[in-house]
Amino acid sequence: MKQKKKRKRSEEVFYVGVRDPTEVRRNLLESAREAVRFLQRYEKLKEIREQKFQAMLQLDAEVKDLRSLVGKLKKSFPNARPHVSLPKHKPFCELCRKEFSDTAGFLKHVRIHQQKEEKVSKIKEVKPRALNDLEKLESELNDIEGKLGEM
Amino acid sequence: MNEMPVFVKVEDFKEALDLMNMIRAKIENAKHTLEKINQLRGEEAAELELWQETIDEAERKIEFIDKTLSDPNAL
Repeated sequence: MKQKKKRKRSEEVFYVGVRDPTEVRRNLLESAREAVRFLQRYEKLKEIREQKFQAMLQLDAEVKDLRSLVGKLKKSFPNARPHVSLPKHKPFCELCRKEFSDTAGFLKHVRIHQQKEEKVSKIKEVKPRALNDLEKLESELNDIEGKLGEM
Repeated sequence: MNEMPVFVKVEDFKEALDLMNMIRAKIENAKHTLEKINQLRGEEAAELELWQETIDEAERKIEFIDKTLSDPNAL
């Protein structure tokens, strides 16, 4: 009885042949490699964006310094009627390219950026973990490339 | 009234010249920072382009696998 059941089970199993299995396996491994590279590129992009954000903050600080220096320069001249009428200056955020009608609104907006800056500094503290992630990705990539080399 | 000359004290004038130098230096710094931002923006765009290429490549590979798996009769 038992032998009959076993025979029945073995008869019930069906297989589907995969055409060109080596090529399928190669494509699978290469897709996995691309996925890992994708993650590596994501880390790089994150770094570039962080650098860009820091550069924008620096530019913002430099523009503020410039404004204060121009204010000082203005004070060192006597109060005479201007010969040329200058266009009215509207507060402008260098980071998000937004113009504000009044200073109060602009200051409110700047506070939001300062909060973001604090968050970024917190992220910076966590940076060593990101490096570990990169190392992991690198070793995964090496594994996949090793397998591809064996093929 | 507008045609009248304006006189500035010598001390104030010196201070103004110093300030002008500082402003010039600051403008130069700001220009460099802006250049850096532009360069980073270019790098960002290049990275995104690479992402696009990677996705296209992966899509092609998956399509091949899918075709092969869904067409076993060709054996």
